[in-house]
Amino acid sequence: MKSRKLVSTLAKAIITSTFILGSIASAASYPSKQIEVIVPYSAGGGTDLVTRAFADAAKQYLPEAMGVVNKTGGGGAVGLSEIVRARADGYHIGMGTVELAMLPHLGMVTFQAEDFVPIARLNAEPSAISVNADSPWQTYDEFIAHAKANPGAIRIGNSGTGAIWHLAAEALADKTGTQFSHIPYDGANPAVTALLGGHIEAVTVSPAEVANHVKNGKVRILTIMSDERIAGFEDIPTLKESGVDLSIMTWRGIVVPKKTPEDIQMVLRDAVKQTANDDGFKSALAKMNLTHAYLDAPEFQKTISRDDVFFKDLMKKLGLGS
Amino acid sequence: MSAQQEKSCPGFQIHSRWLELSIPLITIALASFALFTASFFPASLLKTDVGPSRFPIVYAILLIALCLGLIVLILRTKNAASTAKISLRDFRTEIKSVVGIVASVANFVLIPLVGFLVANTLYMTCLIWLLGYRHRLMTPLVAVAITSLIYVVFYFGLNVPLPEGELLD
Amino acid sequence: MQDFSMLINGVLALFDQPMSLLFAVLGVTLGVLLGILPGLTATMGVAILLPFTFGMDPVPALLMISGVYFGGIYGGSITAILLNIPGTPAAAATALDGYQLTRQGKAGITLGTATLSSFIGGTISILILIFMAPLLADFALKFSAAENFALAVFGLSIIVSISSHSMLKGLIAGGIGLLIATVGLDPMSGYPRFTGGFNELMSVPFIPIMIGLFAASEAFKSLSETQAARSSASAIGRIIPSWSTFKGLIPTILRSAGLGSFIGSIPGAGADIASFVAYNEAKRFSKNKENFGKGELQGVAAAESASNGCTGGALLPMLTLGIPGDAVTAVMLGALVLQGLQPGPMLFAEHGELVFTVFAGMLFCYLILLAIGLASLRMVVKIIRIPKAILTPTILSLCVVGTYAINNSVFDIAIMLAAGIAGYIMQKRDFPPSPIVLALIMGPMAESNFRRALSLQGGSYDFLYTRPITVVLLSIALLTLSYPIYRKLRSKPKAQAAADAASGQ
Repeated sequence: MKSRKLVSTLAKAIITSTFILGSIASAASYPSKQIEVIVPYSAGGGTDLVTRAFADAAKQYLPEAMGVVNKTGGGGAVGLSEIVRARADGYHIGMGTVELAMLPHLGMVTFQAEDFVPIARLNAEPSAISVNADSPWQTYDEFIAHAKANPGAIRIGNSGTGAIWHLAAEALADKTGTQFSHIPYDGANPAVTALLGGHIEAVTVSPAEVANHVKNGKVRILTIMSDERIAGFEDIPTLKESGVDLSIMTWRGIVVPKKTPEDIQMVLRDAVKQTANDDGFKSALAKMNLTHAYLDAPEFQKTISRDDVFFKDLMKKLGLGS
Repeated sequence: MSAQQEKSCPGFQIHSRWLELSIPLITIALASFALFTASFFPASLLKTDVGPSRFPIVYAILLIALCLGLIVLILRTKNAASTAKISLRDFRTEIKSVVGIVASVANFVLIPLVGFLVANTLYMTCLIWLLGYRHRLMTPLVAVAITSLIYVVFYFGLNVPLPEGELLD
Repeated sequence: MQDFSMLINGVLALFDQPMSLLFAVLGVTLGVLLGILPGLTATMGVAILLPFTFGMDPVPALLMISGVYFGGIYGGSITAILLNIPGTPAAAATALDGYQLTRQGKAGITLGTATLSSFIGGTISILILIFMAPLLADFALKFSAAENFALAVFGLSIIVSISSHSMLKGLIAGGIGLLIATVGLDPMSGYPRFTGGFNELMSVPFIPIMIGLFAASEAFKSLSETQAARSSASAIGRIIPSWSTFKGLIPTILRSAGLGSFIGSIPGAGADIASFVAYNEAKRFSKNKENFGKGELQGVAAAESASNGCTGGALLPMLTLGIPGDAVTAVMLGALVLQGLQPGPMLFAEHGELVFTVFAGMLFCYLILLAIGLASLRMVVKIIRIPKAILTPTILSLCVVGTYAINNSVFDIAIMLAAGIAGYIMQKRDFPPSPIVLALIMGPMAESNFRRALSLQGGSYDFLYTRPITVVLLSIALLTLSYPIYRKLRSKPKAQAAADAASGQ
């Protein structure tokens, strides 16, 4: 018994010292080799596109181009778990998404939001209530009045049960005391398609995801669930202006595993800041209808903590968690 | 290999009907397990939804019914082939497949430990040897060459870094 | 006619841009290579290429992406025919008869037919896209959950037609596939089903299972086969089919191209569904139905023409409505927007010149595909002449690496191996693997859309008989399902013993 304890203490000591030595050695010359970014979603999706645009722009600020690795599955659970478990040496970073503050409360993953250390937020998209252009509702007030008068008659499409846009609709129902029929689709695009076909009454996906159809005059955005009006949609009122204190957004940003040494974090923060403010990256995002929303680590941490609490409460209320 | 087996179980024979029955029986077991597990799935939050358990249960019942049908058919068939007894020796033609499967599982276990390059070289050497190309130098060389080619194509061509192995770090 | 002159202008404009042509060639080549490797798909190729297109002009960028898309779908058929390894799910239908033909020593002509069918199917679908886009555009929107459910049921009914060898065993394989398809996050409630706590199992690992069932199990089997058993398969024969052979295939190719374009234009349905449906219809219209599954050139022609026919179909709602039908068109939509083009009803009016240049380029991509295909087949077909001692180990290594590459996941390799071992045992007992793959494609589509339709209708089952498209599709499914059973029952008194042996053996 005693000897086993001794061995384990010794092993721990060796491992710890290797880590410390390793981090000192690497911090001085960091980054000296390729940095790998783990993307928890499949190639071609929104998160993947942001990452690839970021990696493309980061080339100028790093000695070697970043490698983008997609680890998909479980609505982000597989990739986010992978980021938490990755070696904390600064060469393994991840594209964190709002799901890192949501999945822990669904009881499906072993990590917590605190297991990630934020480096910088790159992009954020609020939820918006959009309806078919042929529908009778011109404003949010008309829409919610109809919904209240006919409980359950308004069918709201979302991108999957437990996903961010579903929770946005649930939160709205909760705040306003309305009853909707929530229809989950396999992602935001199929939900928007169903809206265009008139099979559902509304969607709660981001303005960017319906922007094309708004320009084509097929879809109308009634309100956006953000704190302030957002660029590109300045004439659309926020939900707060209608007196509902609700702002829900999805976000994407660079995160690292918790044990990543601080000096390495600082180096990364600098590099990411330069890249995020690079004109090439900004225009790439704009072209993809994505909103540039840079936040440095401390403010990003606040967003994460706030969302963590918010989703915990909401999911408990809805009975989604376990 | 086969000679050894012959000695170890000289008179062992298996009724061919049991071979036929094996897959429907295993399938019934799996479907029953699915049926059992699915009965504990919680109801859906959506009022109009039939819940997560409905489809697996329907599929499992369907599958069990089909398998029972197949079992009845097998038991009713009375031709010579179905009642023949097959000596275990007759399976020796499949021994290479079994060795290949074992090697594949070993490769899978080794990849995270020693990395793709080492594990796959060993794997390919073993398979090439198994298939009768036996040369002390050339067999491993061919394995190294093909493994490296795959590595280069995936790593540089497709930007897919293959596992490097925890033990070698 | 105006469209026609626009197209001519497009062709002329295209040939003023040698860079566009070059990138089209590059894209097609890359796509074919990706399609050949198991596990790697056109989606992946397109995603990897996308950052490179950021700095490019719209026409070369879009043509390179289109090239990868078209080439990727075609490339999957090559290994399906030669080695029974479908590089893409759509090629699983091609493998049904294609591999049998290879075993009969007709690899050359099968590949030639596949190439010609892909070319014709793809070209027709692009022509449909060019000339009939406005007519067909709104059709995509008519497909709601109820219609998609009916389409999936129709797809599932095809299990009966691809398990001609033993109907009961085919149905059991399909049932196993359906049950496997329920593994993962429940589409409606988000509850994790049968995952055993593994995050990796939250979505059905479809491609690893397919690679295991087809490629790995085939390789395991071939380890025990003697070289002599395969010698007939190493014959190559002629590559371009004779006119008299090809003439008989034309109706099948045309019908499948139409079916492919139609199915491709439905959001959520893609090349995999189209190729199986076209295969089924080819069998329905054929005089020698019995030959399907045993090496029928019609089956290969139908599957290939339809899967490439899907390409134009999938582009149709993307360009006219801004609705991407699958992952590849979603990325292409992104690429269009990236180039400052606004997909939608106004795209043709506002950017007509550019759009028609791209259309001309897409037709050029298919010409390149034909050229690359026919030119390389003589060489490609020699794959089957590689000594088995080298080929089989290489295939198994590629199965492992290709599976790993999908999600960069070692876990998926375990799934692939498990499927390979199960597939090996099942094939030894005459259970066909393709119904499992078909059920894996259609099962999730059937379940999620059935339940979604139910929620959309407030819990009423009316949607099963009140919606015309749904009723038509469900009726076809019923016909497909019952006809072979009816035939079997009728022939039973005549050959009781034979039928018993066939279904029991």
